[in-house]
Amino acid sequence: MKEKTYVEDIDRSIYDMKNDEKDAYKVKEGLTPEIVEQISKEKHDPTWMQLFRLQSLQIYNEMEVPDWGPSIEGLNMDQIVTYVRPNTHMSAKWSDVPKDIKDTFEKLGIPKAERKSLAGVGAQYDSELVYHNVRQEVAEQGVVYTDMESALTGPYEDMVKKHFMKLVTPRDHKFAALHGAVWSGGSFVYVPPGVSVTIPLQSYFRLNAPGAGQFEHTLIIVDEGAYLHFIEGCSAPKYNVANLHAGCVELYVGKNATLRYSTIENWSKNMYNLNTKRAKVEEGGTIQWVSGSFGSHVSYLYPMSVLNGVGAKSEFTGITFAGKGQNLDTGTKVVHNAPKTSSYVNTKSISKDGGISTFRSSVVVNNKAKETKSSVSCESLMLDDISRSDTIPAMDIRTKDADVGHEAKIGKISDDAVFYLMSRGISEDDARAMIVSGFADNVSKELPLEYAVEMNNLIHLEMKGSIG
Amino acid sequence: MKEEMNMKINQLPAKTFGWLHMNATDVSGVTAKQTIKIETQKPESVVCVLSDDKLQQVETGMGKDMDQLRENIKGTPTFFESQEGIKEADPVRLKFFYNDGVKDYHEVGFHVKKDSSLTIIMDYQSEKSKDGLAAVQTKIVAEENSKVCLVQIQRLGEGFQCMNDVGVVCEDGAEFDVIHLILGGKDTYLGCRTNLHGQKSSMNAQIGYQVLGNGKLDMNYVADHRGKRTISDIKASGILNDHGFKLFRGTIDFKKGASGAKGNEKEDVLLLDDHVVNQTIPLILCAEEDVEGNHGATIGKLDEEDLFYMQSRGLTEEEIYRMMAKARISAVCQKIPDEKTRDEILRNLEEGVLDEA
Amino acid sequence: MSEPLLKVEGLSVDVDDQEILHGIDLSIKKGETHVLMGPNGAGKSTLGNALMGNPKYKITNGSIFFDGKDILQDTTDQRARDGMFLSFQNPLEVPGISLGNFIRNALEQRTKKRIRLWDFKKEMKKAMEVLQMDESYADRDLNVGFSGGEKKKAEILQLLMLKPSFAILDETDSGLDVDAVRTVSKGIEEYQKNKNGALLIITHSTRILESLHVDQTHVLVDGKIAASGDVSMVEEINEHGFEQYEK
Repeated sequence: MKEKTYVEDIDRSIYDMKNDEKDAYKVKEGLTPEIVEQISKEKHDPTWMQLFRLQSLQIYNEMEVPDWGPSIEGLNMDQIVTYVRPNTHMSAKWSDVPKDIKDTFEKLGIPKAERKSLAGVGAQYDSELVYHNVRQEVAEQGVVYTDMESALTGPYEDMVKKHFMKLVTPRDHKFAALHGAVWSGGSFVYVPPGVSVTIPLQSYFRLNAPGAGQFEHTLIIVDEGAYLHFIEGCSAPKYNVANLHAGCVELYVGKNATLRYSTIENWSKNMYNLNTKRAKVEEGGTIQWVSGSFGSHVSYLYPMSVLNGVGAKSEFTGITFAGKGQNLDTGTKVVHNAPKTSSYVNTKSISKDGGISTFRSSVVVNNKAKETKSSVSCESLMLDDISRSDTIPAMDIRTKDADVGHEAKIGKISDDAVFYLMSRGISEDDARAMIVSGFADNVSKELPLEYAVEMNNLIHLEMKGSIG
Repeated sequence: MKEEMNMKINQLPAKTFGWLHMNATDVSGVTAKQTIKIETQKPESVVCVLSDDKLQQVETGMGKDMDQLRENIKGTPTFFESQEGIKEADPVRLKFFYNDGVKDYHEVGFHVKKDSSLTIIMDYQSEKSKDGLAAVQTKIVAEENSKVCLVQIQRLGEGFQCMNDVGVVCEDGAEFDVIHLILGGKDTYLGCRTNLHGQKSSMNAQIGYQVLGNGKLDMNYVADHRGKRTISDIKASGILNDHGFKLFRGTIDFKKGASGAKGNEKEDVLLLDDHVVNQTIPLILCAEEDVEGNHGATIGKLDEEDLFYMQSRGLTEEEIYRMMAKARISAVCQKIPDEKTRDEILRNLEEGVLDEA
Repeated sequence: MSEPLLKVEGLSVDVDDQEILHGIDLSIKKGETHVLMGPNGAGKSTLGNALMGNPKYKITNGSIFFDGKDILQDTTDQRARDGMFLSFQNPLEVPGISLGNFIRNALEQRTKKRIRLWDFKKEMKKAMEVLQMDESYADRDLNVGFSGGEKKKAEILQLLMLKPSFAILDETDSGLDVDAVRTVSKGIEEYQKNKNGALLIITHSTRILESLHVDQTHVLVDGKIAASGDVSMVEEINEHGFEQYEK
């Protein structure tokens, strides 16, 4: 029998560069009220925020870890440093960013992308933003794009207070509570009514310190009739100790507004990624999630859409690639709360080298949601017999006036397809590579171009010419 | 059994979000005794046996608590055995008739021997009722190249609780077909686990249900693929009306080593009232590369193109829904291999006995 | 001169927000047989679906009068009960309802009368003979497991049993072998014998028309009627194709 094509791991050398720790300040490991108070003091929180943090900590201590999903036994909160401030202040010029940090972002291609194709960039290094800038013409339209800390004390304080952790409350689950207690960094975006931001904004999160946690908070409000594409990227070098990411993303999509939220998650394989993302969509609004999960040791990630207004719509496109040592539990949640709402979910997952990928979802259609449409389609590809791929989709429908469809498929690379391509003169290796990238294609074409190219390269090049 | 038992049944083979309340079902205050007499008709080649170690070990769909209930009751199981090589044309018929208020537990088992085939019809009926429990655990061992067809019909009175638990082990080349028709009762709990551990063994489940009034139907089907080239096919089709509640758990579990296995699952639910609750959770678990798993679900109203076709023949929407609802149940009835039973149920349907839908 | 049975004026139709038909005029009298031909994608099936009131096909302009009545607001089942019929390209499969019961049900709905089983069976048998359908098909589930040809025959069987005053046959001949086309065509002839029955036969081949009486022929190109004429046009198209009508 012919030897099977070996699918290489994603090349992580770019992401794996490490910088020396030259942080200005970090708290002790673990999680105590003292540590939380210290973080609050360091960050000059308003009083309500300090109280909020302490309440969240209490909730954290009361709540259990989930009894489903991948094991997080390897994560010991007593060893996690929850706050690490880099030795710099936030700047609007890359030239003011310390050289080693700047070099890191240069290698990740952030400043270049900013010059080429972005309307604004925020760059977070460990717990704080080191760079934040938005193009003048976008700012002139009234678009606000700033770090959360500035938003919290600036002219938008009331708006932040009104929305902060209201969609994802600390009671949501244990790690949402943790986030509420120790959050730091992240971005605040406000797009005024009718404003269309034609080129994307991007925030990039980089975790450099070993054994640290990153807890950035992203709050985006897209007002009536406005449009925004927001890109989120994240990576970290690999360490032998567990790192933790428990970010929180809250998106408010106004009447007839559209928000496209793209994420490329490329954390290192020692990362516990316990992230929470949620969007509330008003009448006629649309949320579009594009989600690529490639990194992390363990991931729990289910961006949720709450369709609250008549005709609100959610589209979710996701791809998950689980390799050696990875247990990636990803998917989405949708709640239909109003008439004529619709949701479309399309995901692909690939498992190889002992990696575990789980697609997990829930679609809830409430009694109010007449004339609802929902369609979920998930496909999984197994590349060997030491990996694992599970599909766990749930549906809860409480009105007769719904049209809910679901499709799931799992399998290997089809021998017939390989044979067909080979009969046209393509080598077996090329044929397999083509089939895998074809499998991922309808997801990768939803990604911003540079990312799509990167992802295709990762899949295609690594498969090609590397026979096991 | 005096004391009441609080049971956790129909556990999902892989848990998910707790707030959905689909991971398992709690049933509290269960009491039962072995009281009723099963009306049995069987062909001569099938014999009764007192005990059977293999049968005793079969795992079922509802899970361990159902075994515990059996132990608490200390009842005597009714086991049957077919004879090697005999392809029995006549079915074993077990009629369970419950009087109002009866709370009964029974365990039955079928050891279907090598190269034999057997059809089993189990029919649950009762008086018009306010209250009662019909708990039945059925275990089947299907030996090499045997063929088993199990038909279970639940047409209990509207106050009855039904716990119908099935566990099957298929050895090499064994074929297990099951037809479940849930037409009556108040709360029905239904578990069905098939262990496809023999090579090329297969299971084929056809489920037809209607849940009306304040009825509740809670299901857990598991196809456990262990042997190579095993096949499973689960098709559930039903209607919900009034305040009906239905939870369908269906799992295709490809264990490592089940290369060449194929699993299919399809659910089709028609919702007829705005107060129904429909929950569906179809799992595909996979630890093997060379498998094919598919799942599809259609929930809600009729497809617009289908509706248009029927309307173009002059049928009103209301009439189309009535017809399509009935069709779903009839289509499953037609699969019953025993003519006598099939005709009786179809006649019931035609006469509108089940026409409240 | 009598009023036409079907009168279509300036009909424009959108599918998925794209205009497929641009201002169609068509007039069919009682007992007439019209043929609608045209290349693939011209919008022939769209016209059939729009006339029958498929909600997916949105009428943006124009009017449809049937038997003197504006039917634009009528639902599909209302149109069917008024005497319209559409034979589908891909008929629906329904497990659990037999072909016979389905037809009987539809008939009872139309006439609002209970139909005696005996009479019904007799008539059904006659119609099935014309179509060379085995009687057992009446007891088989509607279209389930039917081959392409059997499905088309089942459609024509419904045409004969429901006796509409106007029927649209959408590509009833596509995918059929020569023998099956002949049988189906016989069924249509049987329908034509009823003097008041009008037909709109949508097709892109001419085989099915060989033994049928045709009053008028229309050619649909790019969502417009490019030409209309008598039966001789069928011959023309048979020899020269649609090119002459395409701009």
